[in-house]
Formats: sequence, C-alpha cells, structure tokens
Amino acid sequence: MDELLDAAPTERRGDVLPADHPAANLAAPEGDCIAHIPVAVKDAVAAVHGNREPPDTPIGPGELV
Amino acid sequence: MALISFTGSPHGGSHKLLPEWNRQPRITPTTIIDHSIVGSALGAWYYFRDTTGIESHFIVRGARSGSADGHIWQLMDTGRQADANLNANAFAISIETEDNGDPDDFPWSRAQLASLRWLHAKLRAVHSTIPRRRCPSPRGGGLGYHTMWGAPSAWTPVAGKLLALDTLVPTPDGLLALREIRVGATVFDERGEPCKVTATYDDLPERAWRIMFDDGLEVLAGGEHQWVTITRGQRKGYFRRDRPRDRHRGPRPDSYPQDWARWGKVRNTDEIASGILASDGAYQHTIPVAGRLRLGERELAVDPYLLGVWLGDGGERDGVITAGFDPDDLMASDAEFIARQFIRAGYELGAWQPRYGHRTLTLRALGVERQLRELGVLGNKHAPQDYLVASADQRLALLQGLMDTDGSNCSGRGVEFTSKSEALADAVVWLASSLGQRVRKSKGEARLRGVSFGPKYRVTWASTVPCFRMPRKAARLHGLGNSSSETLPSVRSQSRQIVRCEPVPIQPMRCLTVDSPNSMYVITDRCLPTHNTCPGKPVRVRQWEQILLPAFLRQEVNDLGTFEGFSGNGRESFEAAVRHAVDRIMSQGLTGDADGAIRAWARQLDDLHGPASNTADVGERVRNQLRAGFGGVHPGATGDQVRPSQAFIIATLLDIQSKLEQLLSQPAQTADQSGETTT
Repeated sequence: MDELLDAAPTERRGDVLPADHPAANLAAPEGDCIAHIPVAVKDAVAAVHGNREPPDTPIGPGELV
Repeated sequence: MALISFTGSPHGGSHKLLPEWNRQPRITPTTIIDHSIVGSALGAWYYFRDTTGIESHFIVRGARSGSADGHIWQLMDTGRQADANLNANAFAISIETEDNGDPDDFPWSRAQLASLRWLHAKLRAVHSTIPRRRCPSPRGGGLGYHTMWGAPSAWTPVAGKLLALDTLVPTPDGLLALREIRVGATVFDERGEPCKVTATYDDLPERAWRIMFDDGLEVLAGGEHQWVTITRGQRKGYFRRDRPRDRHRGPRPDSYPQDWARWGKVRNTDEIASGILASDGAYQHTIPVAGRLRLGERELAVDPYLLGVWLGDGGERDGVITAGFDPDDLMASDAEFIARQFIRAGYELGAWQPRYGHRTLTLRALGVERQLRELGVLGNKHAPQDYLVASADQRLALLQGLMDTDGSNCSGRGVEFTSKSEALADAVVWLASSLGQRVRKSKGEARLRGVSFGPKYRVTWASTVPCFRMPRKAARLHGLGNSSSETLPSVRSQSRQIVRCEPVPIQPMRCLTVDSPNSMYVITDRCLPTHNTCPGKPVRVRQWEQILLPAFLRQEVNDLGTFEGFSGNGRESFEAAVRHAVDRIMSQGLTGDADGAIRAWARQLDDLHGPASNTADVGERVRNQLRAGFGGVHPGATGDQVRPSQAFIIATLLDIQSKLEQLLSQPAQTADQSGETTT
C-alpha cells in the first residue's frame, strides 16, 4: 500500500501551474462537475502540461478487483 | 479498496490516480452517474489534479483521443468520495466521458459505449450495493446520468437554456409565470396538445436578449435558449408554386404544414440574433403559430357566448344588455339575434326597453344577474378564469360573444376588438391566441366628438376561426363556410417573424424540459412555440437511454458473455475470452434466457467488430463452412487458419450456442442438482 501511495501523483494546486495562470486559482464550487468549467480553461490546463498523457500509476495485480 | 482490473475491458484501461485517490471520505456506492466532460480527457485530468476540489472516479476517453478511444482511466478508489455530483457525492461513482466540447451534439463513440457498458457491469459486479435499475430519484440507487434531474438539480449546479422568470406559460389552470412551473406540471406543445414538464432549470445566462416579433410580442431569453424557426429560404421553397417544376406539387398551400416543428431547425437565440435578415433583406426567421390549445370542457354557470355579450354590451352593475334595434326589420336586428341566443340557452326574457329613439333595446334575461353576481363579474367586468381555460368550443363561444358586441370586421381580411377595458382586451388576446390566431394589441385614445374618454385598446388579427356568431358580422368574415368570395388569411398572418434581437442585462432565468414529441412548448399569452432544453434531446442522453441503460438492466444475461480475459488485441486474446465465456456457461449453468444471452453477446461483438453477427440468419451450411474455414474454439482448428473476423465470431457464437443447447436439453437434471431452475 505504501508503494502505491508513493507512486501516486503528489502535486497539488499551484505546484505545477504558474501562479498567474488563469486556471491556477480557479477552484470549482463544492461538489461541482468538470462540465461547469469552461473548455478553454481545461484546454489551457492541459496545454501547460504539454498535452502529455499523465503517467500510469503502477499497481500490483493483487490489489485489483 | 476498489481499484478495478481492466482485464476483459474492450478497449483497455489504466490507473492514473489523483493525489487524493484514497484520502477522500469513504463511501458505499449505490449509484453510477455518467457524465460528459465538455472538453478533453487530458484537460479534465490535469484540472482534477491541479485545481483540486472536484474529482471523478473514471474518465473514458473518446474519439478525439484517436487510437485511445474507449480507453478507461481510473482516477479514484471507488470506495472513496469523488466530488463531481453535488448532493450525490456520498453515494455515487462518477464516470466522465470525453467529448469535443459539445455533449449535446457529439455522441459517444462506439468504443466509448462498449467501455461504458463494460464498466457499468464491472462496477455492479464489484459493488453489490448498486442495484440493477434506472436510478429512481436524486437519492440514488442504480444507473443515472448527470442531468437526469434537471440542471441545476441535486446532482449538478450546471444551468440549462433559459427564459425570463416572469415569462407566462399557458397551463390548464391558466397563465402561470415560469418561476411557478414545477416538475410534473402540464403545459402545451406547439400543436396545442398537453405535455408534462420533466425538469426545470434556473441560472444566470451568459447573455440575454430581448426578442421582438412582428406582431409586437417581446420575449426575454438567454443566448442559448432554443427555438425552432423556419428560414426565408425554406418558406419560399415550400410555398412557391409558380415555376414549371412546381406543378407536380399541387396548388400553393394556405398554411404551414402540420409537422412544421420537424421541418424547421433548432436554433439558439445567439444564432438568431446574429442573422435577423436574409440576404434579400427580408426577415430570416419565422415561427408558425401554435395550434388551438386542447383544454377540457368546463361546467360554466352562464353560457359563454352570453357572458361574452354581457361583457361587451352589458350594464356594469346589472344583467341588462343593450343591443342595436331596427324597428323596420326586427328579425335582422342585433337585439333579435341576442334574444334568440338567450332563449336557446334556456333563459326567459324580461321586458324589452327601447332607448335612444328606438335605435337600441335593453334586454334582460331572468336569473342572469344573480349568476353574474355569483361569478364575481358584476361591477368588475372581466372574463373569469374558468372561461379562459375551458374547452376550445367554449372559448370560441366567449370570443364570439365579445366580438359580436365590441368587435368588427374592419377590412375584409382582418377583425378587430376594441374596448376601454384592458382586462377585456387581454382576454380577447388570450382567447384568440389559444385558438391558433396571431393577434396584435395596441393602445389608443378613445375620443367622441373631440372629447377624450381615456385610453382604448384594440386587438386585431386575420381570423381563421369563425369569431363572429351574429349573421351580419359572420357574413363578412372571409372563407369560413359562408358565401364570401374572400380568401383565407395570408400565410404570413399564421406565423410570427423575428424582427429584432437586442441585448439586455442578464437576469435570473429558467427553462423547462417537456415530454412533447417535438420537445416544444408554448409561452406567453400569445402561445408562442419554443423549444425545450436539455436533457431532453442531447445525443448522449438518447444514447444513455437507448443503449447504456438497457444494457445495464440486462446485465444478468450479459454476464454470461462478458469478455473476461479479452484485452481487445489479437486473436489469441479473443480466443481466451471465448473459452472463458464458454467455461463459465458450462460450469455455472444459465440464470437467464439462453438465446437472449447469445444475442446480447452478439451485440457486444457488434460494438467491437461491426454489425452482422446475427446468429439467427446463419444456416447449417454456412455454419459448416465456417467450422471448416475457421477453427476458433474448435479443437481441430489450427492457429494459422483463424482470423478474428466476423465469420470467426459467428462460428464461435454458434459453437457456444450448440453447447447451450446441450445444457438446456437437461434442465430437470440441472434443477435437481442445484435446487433451482436453470432457465
């Protein structure tokens, strides 16, 4: 389990996005859904990360159901 | 912990866990909620990670991801809360799906549908607390989609498409403001038929417009509110009959087609506002009038025609009616006609009193005054609500009474009602509009011999209904079964043109979803047809209802054909999946309809490999050929001969079916062994 935790992404808001990025501090309302966030903001967030596919989290077969 | 294995998923899956994947509060899932991202999978994932506060358990990639179409990402432990469902977060597993930014018109790909079906079945297998049913309420329990209770609603704060809250909506109980309309209320569609409100939506629109029509009607609507309009080009194409090539189309129609709502196109206010005029300078957008509203017949204390006559020419504080009288031709006088109507309605008449030098008479029907008092109209002339929401015939009778007294046939093509009472003018506006007429209302000054008597109100329209009953007026009404040579009112008078859209400050607005066939309902006292809003029509909602939900409800049968062990790549993997399925069938027996199981499995195969695997259409000869040419799971087949083709799939299915037949030929034995019936 510890290995799993270590493997999971740990960056939080602001760790990656520039502080002046329009999406950096755009916290969604409590319980909101991603559909409520403008497409341009989502695209901008992905563009900051180079539109790269996020890495897989390695998980052992025994942990799966 | 519940991180799922994607073994057997049709397009694979992987775990891309968010930082909070196992730090959120624990939940016991009872509900699966399908979402649409309105954007890309990448954008959603990074947004979830970097701008935390919302999460989703899964993302199913879509066509914009190319070869990864249908690939599933798991972002959260399904035993932990993901905040994407507002009040449903404590019991829901959320599945986001990639789109092109427009979930209303961009459907789920075949790969996404296959993955969603697999994922739904998998989640139910992992979480036995999720019942196999359509989610019956916002409290959860089953399969749902995000906006199924409206927007905003208990599951989402996202808004729909909107009209101003004080917009009037005709209902069987009269005109209600939009803010008063609740789910389950009855409204009317563009044909005038009743329909139910299935959801309501409230929010501030990004843009708001004042839409102005050529009859003076004005409506405030959000930029995304939808309308069904017919363009100038469509109008010309439909009505034009003067060219040689139009001869086979018959004479020029005198009205819009009954199904104009399907003929027109759905456009939002923003689109309409950006193109008010056609290239030739004429108005581009037309909305035909609604049909007459179908309301139930009411028990009315006073005959509606006679009430209309009294409202028009009756005494303010008594039941006396003043009518024109010609002593030289008694039978042709208005007073004579009205008296006959009273007698026909069962009243006895009191004494007639000539007035104004025998030019008019006052009539009094015995008992009417008491009835008028009970109606609450004595001293307060108005059309009671019961009369305004009565049947079409009763409403027409009331209109005829008003028009026979205060109306006129002014120009041969149009009719007019004039009154100093705005309440009566508004009643005529509603009565005529609810009977399918396009009316105009205007305000002027009542003058007699140069003296002003205050404001007067005119309601005019080109009538397609017999709005007069009095013979001398009805005879002048064109084309309605009398001898007049006049034609019916023009097509233009049976529709409204949008003449202007001007931006207005945004304000709280609301829209409805209705269950009418064309997703339309009428608004305002003019009965203007408008389109409803999501989730009635978006393509993904239709897919959810027609594909995903039925598959989820069939899950017990589908379990037999789940592609356990099939990664979606290569023959060997497919063979392994088939063997696994056969093993399950042979070892576990059947819990559902065997043929249904095969067909359900065939449908899954269709999703993966295209249509044609219909086992019922494959004959014995074909079956033998298939067996000879494609080994599949047959022990004698060699690997080189086998291709993961349609034929191979069919042969495989046939083989499984034969095994099922063997199994089903011994039901008694199986039942005895298990203690349960097997089919």
